[in-house]
Amino acid sequence: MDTAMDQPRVANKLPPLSVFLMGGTQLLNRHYIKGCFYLLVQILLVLFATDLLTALEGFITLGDTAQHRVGFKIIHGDHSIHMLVEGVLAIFLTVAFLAAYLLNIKDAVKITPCTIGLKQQLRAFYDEHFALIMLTPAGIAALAFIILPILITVLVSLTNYAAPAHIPPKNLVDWVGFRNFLSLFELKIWSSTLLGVGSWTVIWAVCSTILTFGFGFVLALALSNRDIAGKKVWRVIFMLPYAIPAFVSLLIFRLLLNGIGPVNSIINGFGIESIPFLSDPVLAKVTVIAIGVWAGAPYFMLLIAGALTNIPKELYEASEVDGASRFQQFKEITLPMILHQVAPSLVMTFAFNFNNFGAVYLLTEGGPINPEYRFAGHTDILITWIYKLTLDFQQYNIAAVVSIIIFLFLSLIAIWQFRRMNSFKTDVSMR
Amino acid sequence: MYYHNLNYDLAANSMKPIYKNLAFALSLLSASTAYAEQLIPEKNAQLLIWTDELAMDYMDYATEAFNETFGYDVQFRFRQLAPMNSAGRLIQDGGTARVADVAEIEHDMLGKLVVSGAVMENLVSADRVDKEFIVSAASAAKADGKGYGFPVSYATTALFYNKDILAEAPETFEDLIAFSTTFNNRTENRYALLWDVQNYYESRMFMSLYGGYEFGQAGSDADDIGVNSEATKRGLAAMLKLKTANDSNPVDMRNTQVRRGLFTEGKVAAIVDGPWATKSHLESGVNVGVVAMPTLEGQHPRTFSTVRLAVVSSYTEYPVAAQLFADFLASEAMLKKRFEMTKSIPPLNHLMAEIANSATADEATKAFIAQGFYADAMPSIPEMGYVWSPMANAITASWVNGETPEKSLDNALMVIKEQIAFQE
Amino acid sequence: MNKLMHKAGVFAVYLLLAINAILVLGPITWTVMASFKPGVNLFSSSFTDFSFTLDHYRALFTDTPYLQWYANTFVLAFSNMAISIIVVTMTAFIFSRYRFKGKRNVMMGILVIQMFPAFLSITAIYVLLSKLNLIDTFTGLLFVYVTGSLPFMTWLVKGYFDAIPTSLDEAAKIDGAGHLTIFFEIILPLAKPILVFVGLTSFTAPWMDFILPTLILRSEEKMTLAVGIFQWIASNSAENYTLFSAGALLVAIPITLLFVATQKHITVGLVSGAVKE
Repeated sequence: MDTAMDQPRVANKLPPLSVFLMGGTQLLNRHYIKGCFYLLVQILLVLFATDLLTALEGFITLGDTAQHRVGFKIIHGDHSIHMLVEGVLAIFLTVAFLAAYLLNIKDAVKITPCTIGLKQQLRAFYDEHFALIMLTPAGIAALAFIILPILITVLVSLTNYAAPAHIPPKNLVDWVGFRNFLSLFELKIWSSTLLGVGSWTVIWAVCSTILTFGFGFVLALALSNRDIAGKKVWRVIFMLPYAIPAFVSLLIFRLLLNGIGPVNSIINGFGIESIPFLSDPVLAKVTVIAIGVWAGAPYFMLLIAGALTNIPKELYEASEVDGASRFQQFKEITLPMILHQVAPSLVMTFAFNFNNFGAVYLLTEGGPINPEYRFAGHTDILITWIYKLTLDFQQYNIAAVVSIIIFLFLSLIAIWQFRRMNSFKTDVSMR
Repeated sequence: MYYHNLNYDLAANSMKPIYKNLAFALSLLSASTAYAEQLIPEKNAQLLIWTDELAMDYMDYATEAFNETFGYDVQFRFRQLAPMNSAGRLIQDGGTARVADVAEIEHDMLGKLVVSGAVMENLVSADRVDKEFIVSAASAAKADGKGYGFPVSYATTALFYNKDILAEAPETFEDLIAFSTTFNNRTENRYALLWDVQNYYESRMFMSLYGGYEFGQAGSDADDIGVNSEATKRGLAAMLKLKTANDSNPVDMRNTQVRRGLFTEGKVAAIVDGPWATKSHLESGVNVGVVAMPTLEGQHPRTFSTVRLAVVSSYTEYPVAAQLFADFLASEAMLKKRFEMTKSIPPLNHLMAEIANSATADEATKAFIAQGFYADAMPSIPEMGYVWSPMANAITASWVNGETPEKSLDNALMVIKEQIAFQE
Repeated sequence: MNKLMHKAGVFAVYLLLAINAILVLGPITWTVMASFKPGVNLFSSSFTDFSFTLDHYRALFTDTPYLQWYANTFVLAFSNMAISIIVVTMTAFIFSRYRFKGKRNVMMGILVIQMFPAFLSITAIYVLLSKLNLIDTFTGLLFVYVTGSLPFMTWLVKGYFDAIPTSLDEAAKIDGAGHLTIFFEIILPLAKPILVFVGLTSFTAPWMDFILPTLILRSEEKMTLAVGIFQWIASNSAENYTLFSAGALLVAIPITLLFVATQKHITVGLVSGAVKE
């Protein structure tokens, strides 16, 4: 985004002023905006240097005296987790400062005196850096609430931050290296839970995605049938599960499908024993998927209905001339065209379901109990397991490790999708 | 001193000990005299109270009485929160977001709360709690030998039965088993006996039939874990016999509403429940009777007893007001009032004896007090937190999957030990 | 013969539609009935039980902070919508129309990140918000909502903007239009369908979500509807399913109407954004 390198100028024997006073050279050359900016960076650094150092030190030690109380009085101490966060911020700022410093010198070395006035400089700055200015709000938000939390999560996974003995501010938290990862993979009860919950998570995400897509497809096709009357009404009815807040419908299903709930009382009415929809390990999994499809199919129905209208009519007309049957048309035109169009949505839906907390937690709370698992039940997926570890048991460190596993897994899938997309159409989306 | 002037007529007879012990507790502090003079609530104190739905009306009453009795002007705000969630919130939010100044918890969470530093010591009446409350409440209020909690009620479970189905109160669980052979019908949801099988809190009474225990005999020795002792295994084996009487799907019966609902509909002969449910059972229209637990194999089931504690958050901005109010909740007058309003059993020695011997006291309360003789206080050391889920797993393995008690309980021990080691 | 086959086919389609309609409408009907049923317990409530009372609806407004929660959720939803639309369109405009160093990597980053729910790093978000004193504030929750949906929405809207021919902005540029003029006067007016979609999605999020408010909001008077009515059935001591049903219906009805009214835009949004390839 910087201007192209000018021809190397006669080398200055002396180092530029900017090496000592950031923005100095720039100001001398009347580049006021740049100069002031760099100068401001240096002033801020000088003002907050001690804080920065304290934060960096705290990041390493995570504190040495915890808060305690004498009688009715609180004696404040170190809050390890806050120190960790401040440390991360300090590292961010240090890196940012170093980058600014280097840029400052690089800029100073090849600088030419500015010939335009301040107003024009401002104008030029706005024109040149318009993209940067517009991206700033989103960039800061993403940095603060997406990137930083991910970093902190990674760091928490390297500590012993867990109840009961290591909860600040009354206790200190320490670095423990990769111990949590080792425990999760080596201690049998943890690793078998991870493996079991992890594989069910994948099965659930794959099944629910494919079935949701399938049912959505069938509905969309049915609604595109020329001989069906009242399409608008049907469509609105089928949209309902998409429009009703998922947490409402899931909780209602939980009531309906309970062992002694209304559905089973109908079944009992026929003299058949209750079906353990939510309490049999296998059946509960099937139910979770089925309800997931109930709630998710309308999304694909709408999507595919839209995609169907994108298929050129001529294709069908041409194939009819060739004497293709309806089934052949479907197989050779509709299906590939649709698949091609909704493939990215399929990956998205997979990722969404992979982390679809509500679909499991609200329906079964992870149950029924699986005696082989730790803090998890038969239908728990990774994210509900994290929830239990975090909220019910305050095992923040282990929860962080599981989060990282999910991060890594989904990143692989995202990168794979990105590659695939790029090979489809090299640079149009990257324009 | 300040307390001389107080018009403490609500609890006239207990005033003296409070005063005396207060002074005693204070004298233990380095700056005792200074504190004693300051022991009035902070100016403009505003206390946030967490309690469960059942106690909301009572809490309203107690806060008003507090200000009226002492002439204070403490502001109160309430938040309805189940005691189970309170403990977690205190740990998670303490020092971060506003937590209750005074919260009510079940005593088994106390150890965890103390270790994580979420609650403050009882600085005003630890000694009185030790002396006047029943032994299990006094020890429930302590962690590491220091007093933290202010006991406000005592609970254990008893057997509620439908007098229209069972003409006489069952004396043995074997009676219920025999009765169930003609009564039970799964398609009609008719069961002779229901309890939350997968919940160790309720199933524990059978597993301790022959002396099974968790952490040593006193419930405080983390090195002596008894969950796979011979006694516990024998207890679990005995419990499995009850599958005839309770052949429901245990997962469906996890929900209290389901169990109570079926009982109310007259489809269930007997269910296990606690004092918190007495009111709703009495109002449900069922011809309900309550007795202490029947015997199984000639042994008395040993139920868990829990003590509801008021605790003061260590993050409170008004420690004095909070402590004084928590202490007020545990005063005799308030405990009595609470019993009248909510049926919570007061854990005070002489009040309990009074109720047990009174002719007017209800059957349910008497049954709970009677069961209290065969109850063990739930251990409150932090390690107790690691017991619930492995034990629920062990029960499920044996009850649902037909695993032998040997195997399932040995496995539970392994998990508990692993978890304890992991925390260190 | 062929005609008969055709008729059978149409019949099969109708059958499919009817069965599906029953599956969709059944639970909804039951919920509606439940909200009118006396008492609190729903387990024994069957499909054929027709007792009727308006008590629960009355209780919503007289005994519970339902209206307050409704107002909270509305404020959150509206703010989320407004902020999201502004930030997302700005960002997507840049990604669609400008070249800059590292753009490819940033795009890739967005694609990866949009797959992670904020929930995954919730402990960290909680700590950050508490450092900023934003626990138990709508501001804190809004930050998480807006940033949470930012990557996905940006990707979506960028896709839509890409489809608007660049010749339009080039012509405007020749006429001397600045960056913002192009953005406001050329791109945005042509992007109305996707804006409606972004608005609708971000407006409905706070009505549907209950995890983040559980983790971030604390005081009863600040709760959103989802959290508020969920707690009526979440605790064992105080389950009130009928009240929950009534409360849930009053949330679902306006949202459903909104969806039905904007269904054309939803299809456009889904197709142009998600489908575009």
